[in-house]
Amino acid sequence: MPVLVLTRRPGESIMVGDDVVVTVLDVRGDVVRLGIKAPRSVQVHREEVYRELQRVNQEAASPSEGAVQALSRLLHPPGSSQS
Amino acid sequence: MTKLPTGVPAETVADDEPVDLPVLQLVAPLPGFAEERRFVLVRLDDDGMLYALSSIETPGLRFLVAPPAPFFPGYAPEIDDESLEALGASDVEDLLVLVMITTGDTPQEASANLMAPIIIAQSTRRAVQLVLGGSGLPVRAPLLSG
Repeated sequence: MPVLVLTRRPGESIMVGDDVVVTVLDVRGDVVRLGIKAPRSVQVHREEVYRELQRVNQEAASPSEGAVQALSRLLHPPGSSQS
Repeated sequence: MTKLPTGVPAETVADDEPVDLPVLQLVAPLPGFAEERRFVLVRLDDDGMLYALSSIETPGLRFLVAPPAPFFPGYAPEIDDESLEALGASDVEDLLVLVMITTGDTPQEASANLMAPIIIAQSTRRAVQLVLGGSGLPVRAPLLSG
């Protein structure tokens, strides 16, 4: 994907599409604070958090029947009142 | 912010009960699964410890989920007002909280994602994976610590 490079000052914003507004709130040294206004259907997360969640969800997806059974057996040892 | 209930759900459907399962609609996609919006929740055991969140769109895609309370008694996630509104839940007692489980190579290695619980509004059948980004909660908490 192409990368657009823009220069903005604190208090200035950029629009992404029709309804996402990213505002530079302030800049202190190497830390930039951003405000992001977006509809609920647009998920906004720190990239590293989102990538980690993608990874964990993909790992969690569709465990084998054997793995599910094994976990279920561990949670319900024989002789316990539950099945 | 509102505290979420984390206990074992009182009433759900087991996988051997021949009824139409209510379809859950995700209000935002699961990270990593952008196309999947509709799921059903299937109970896998009698005591409600394990559930499968199964995709309607992609046969075979399912996630193992569990109520957190039996495994993580101190777990007390909070939901923001915007998410509550998106789910259309009138009251927090309407919400079902489940954590996603990664089974691992052996069941002893199973872990749960406490940073991003699945929240289901039972009255509206809307659901979301709530991302508790600044919480410091782990994405791979060992399910069985003992």
